[in-house]
Amino acid sequence: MKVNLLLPDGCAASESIPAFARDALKKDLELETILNAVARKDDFILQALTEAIFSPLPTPELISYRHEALHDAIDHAEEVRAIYDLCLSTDRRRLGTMGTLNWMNNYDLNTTFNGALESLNVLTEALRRLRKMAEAYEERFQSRGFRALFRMLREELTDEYLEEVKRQVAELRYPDSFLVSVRLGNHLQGVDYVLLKKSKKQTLELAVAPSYRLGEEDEPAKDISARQARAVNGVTNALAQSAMYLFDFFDRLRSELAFYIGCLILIEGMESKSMPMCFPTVLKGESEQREWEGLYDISLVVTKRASVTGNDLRAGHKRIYLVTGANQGGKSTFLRSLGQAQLMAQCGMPVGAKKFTAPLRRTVYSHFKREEDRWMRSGKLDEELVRMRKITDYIRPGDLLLLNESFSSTSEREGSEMLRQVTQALADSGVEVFSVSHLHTYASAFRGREEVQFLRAQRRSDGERTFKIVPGEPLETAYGEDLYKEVFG
Amino acid sequence: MFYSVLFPSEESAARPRRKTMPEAFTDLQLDVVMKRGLQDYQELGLEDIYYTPVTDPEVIQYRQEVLRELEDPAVREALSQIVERFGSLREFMDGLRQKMAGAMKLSDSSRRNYFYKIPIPGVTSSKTRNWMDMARVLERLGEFTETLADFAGSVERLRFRSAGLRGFAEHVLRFCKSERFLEMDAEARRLRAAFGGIRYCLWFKSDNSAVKVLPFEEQEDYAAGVEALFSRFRQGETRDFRKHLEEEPVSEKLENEILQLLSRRYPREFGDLEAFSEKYLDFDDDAILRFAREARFYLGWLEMTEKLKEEGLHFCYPALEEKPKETFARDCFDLALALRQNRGVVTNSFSLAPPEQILIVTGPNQGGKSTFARSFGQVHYLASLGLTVPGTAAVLPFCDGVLTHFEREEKLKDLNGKLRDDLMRLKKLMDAATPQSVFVVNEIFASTTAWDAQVLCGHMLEAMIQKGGNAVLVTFLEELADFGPQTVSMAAEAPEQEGGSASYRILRKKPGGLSYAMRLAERHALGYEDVKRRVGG
Repeated sequence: MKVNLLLPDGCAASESIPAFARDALKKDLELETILNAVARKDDFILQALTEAIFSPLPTPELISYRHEALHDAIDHAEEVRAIYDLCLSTDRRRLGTMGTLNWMNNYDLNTTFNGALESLNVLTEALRRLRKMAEAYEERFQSRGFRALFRMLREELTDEYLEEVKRQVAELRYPDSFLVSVRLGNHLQGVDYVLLKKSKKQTLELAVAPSYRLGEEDEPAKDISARQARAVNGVTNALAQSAMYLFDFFDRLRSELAFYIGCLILIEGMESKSMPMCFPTVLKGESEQREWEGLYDISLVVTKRASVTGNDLRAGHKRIYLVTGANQGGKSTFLRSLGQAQLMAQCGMPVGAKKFTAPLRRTVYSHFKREEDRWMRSGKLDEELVRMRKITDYIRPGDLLLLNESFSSTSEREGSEMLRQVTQALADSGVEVFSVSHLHTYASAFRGREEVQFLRAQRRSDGERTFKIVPGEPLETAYGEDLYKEVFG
Repeated sequence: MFYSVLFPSEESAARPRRKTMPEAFTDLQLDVVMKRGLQDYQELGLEDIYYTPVTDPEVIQYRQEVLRELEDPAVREALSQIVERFGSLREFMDGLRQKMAGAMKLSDSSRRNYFYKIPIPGVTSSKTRNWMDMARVLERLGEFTETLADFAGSVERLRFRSAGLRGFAEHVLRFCKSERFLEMDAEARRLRAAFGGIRYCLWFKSDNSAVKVLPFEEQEDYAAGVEALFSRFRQGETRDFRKHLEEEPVSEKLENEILQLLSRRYPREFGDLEAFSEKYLDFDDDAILRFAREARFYLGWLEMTEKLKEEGLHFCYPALEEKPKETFARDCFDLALALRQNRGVVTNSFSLAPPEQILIVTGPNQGGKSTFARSFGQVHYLASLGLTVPGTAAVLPFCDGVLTHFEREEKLKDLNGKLRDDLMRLKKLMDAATPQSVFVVNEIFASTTAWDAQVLCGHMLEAMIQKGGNAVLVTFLEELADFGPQTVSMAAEAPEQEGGSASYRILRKKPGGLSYAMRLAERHALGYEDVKRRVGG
């Protein structure tokens, strides 16, 4: 039984973003701040959103599939939460632990057998309740995902089926004797024990069969319990696997619902700070059109617990976005907001903006300047180069790279030249690059180029920074002096 | 008369062998080679073969011939069953024979016990036999005869050339033609087929009181029903909850009692088994079992080297000579390193033409010097075992051992203590050396002043020249490079361009002259062309 709330049957997300790039993105884009705030302590939400964000969808169609279901979730939040709560009651960590024993990982077969049986009882009851909910909700929902789910539950979990499950579970109890079929092993030891159902005929035969009465020398206690274990091994496996199937089913359902619950929490959270969220327009990967209005850094709202400034832009046919300008002028914040929006848009989440239009980018990579690491063994520039090398080993045409003050740990000239070569090579290979840099030589090298969009941290004529990022070519002077003045008065 | 596949005669096999690992093994990382490449050498008791270099030309030739012949996959295929199945057969059968002899006595006493019990006819059997041990004789014997018969069948086709394999094959053929062999082979096949077809039902109570045996009649399987019921929820991989349960019984006695019950249903089969196991208890043959164990020496080696050959590395059969006109090895490499990293192993060559005797290797850190020194030692040592050596061609002297001195990491010693230590170790090394010993010395006296080190190394080189064996010395003292006519200077090759990475190539040349100013971006391949090529598009 498939859930299919996140993807239609038979569809798959793109290959997920490589682990090293995920780790960097989490840090660089402050994704962890956002995800932890949304998930609170619910691991399922945390995992569902994390997994989604790092597994971009390959087509705009699949994104609308999620948008549709998200609209349903927004309109029927109460129902969606009710199903989610039912899933909570089937948590395997709770049901997997009967008393103090963890039956799923227990060495003792008896424990596994009884634990599985008990879990199956509870799970079967949950199935019955789930079926009831499906019957009640089906008509109210509009999206393909939710409607298909409800129909499947109604059709598969009929009363007859649920009765049969109950009967079978009840019938299985440890018997006081065992009948197994046996084959002879390589030195005539009995092997391949298979537990059999006793028939009437057998009961008769048993009465007259030759028998042996056990004595002390036979180590009866140990030997017979070993034989018992072999006899019930197969049926215990069948029970435990069945319980696992059901756990897995509820887990899948819960994980997929968790994505939508997570989105709901995020939207509510932003609304409470008067920050809008929108359903983005996602274009095909071939497009080079980008447009945003009021694009803001969600993590900043989370940490400041207040509303923040947003940015606007409308651009077309650009490959390289070069952001220059004053220190602490909002450049990194802007880059983060763009990265967040891109990743969230690509997985069907709403984004932090009034409006956001962007093409699909297969994978997003980030290369941000890192604070000095006390334990760092290699030099700082060397560390940056190693990271860049790794990114360029993985990155492919159609991907997006976010650069933040890369190679600024060496001299202006050297850093500029290295960064220029990398940026140019990537853009020429079909990678889209957003680069925040104060390396003047670097930025100037791209002046007058069609495929480059220059952006600049805005500064009013009186020298005051607005934290807005606006179109504009790099200026000759850096703004370190401003900062100096601000700090030293 | 065939005796061993490692030694041409019983006499040469009887010479004493070393039982403990030579100290050089760790420094040359031959311990790693043995562990990674030849996992089961210890289990088979072949350590002493690896620990004992051979200087007898006849033995070396005998082994090289066998090894060369075993390179043919068809030959190995023909021998594989013998090797896999007979490796530990002797220990097993000896144990079984002992146990069966002991069981005779035991059954006497237990028979006496029955007088004190009231026998209930049809319920308690009074003369249970050890059916399982009898079956073990049948099992091993059947394997033995089938394996040998298979091999005998392929001997004609293979036409062995090496003295070692030819001797073995002739021995097996004689053995397989004997009347006893043919008889026990046929009987074993018949019995195994008979028992293989038996399936019965066992009934037992959970209160440990009794067991019963009854016929099997296709009763319904419990687990299958449960599986079918929940199959609709099944998705993807499932976890297997079946415990891995030992199928050997806890109590062999009880298992034998169950078989005793079963024997009433199959009296003829069980009777035949009893007669068979008595008649053929001593079926195994010394020379064949010894071969099975010893052949692993070659097979383990071939398995390991062939994997490396697939990576493009070469191995060759060295020519061993008393006093070679020129000692050399071409394109050799550090075997331990190759096993670790597989790809991109750098090869190096060296040669020593008398009076040359000692290689002096200098160069920067991380340039591949120690690796080179190790491979020098490995080549000499492996050749002395009659094995192939890394490289495309090699002529080497007979060598009775490799003596090594590598820098040890002992942090707690003060410098003087360390120097004393170095000298003590060196003294021990020199005392142990013979004219056929090979030296590998890596960064000795590194803890003392350059001047002291130079004087001390000088003494050491003099001593080595006195002894007469080949040697390699890795040192930071470039002054030693032109020590005398007996020494040859080798140094790490300069990178092709300034800032390029080390090539790990060690060449016959004067030391020094390398520039190591690094161009970082180049080193990380982050130039425009490099990036564009990698990303594609």
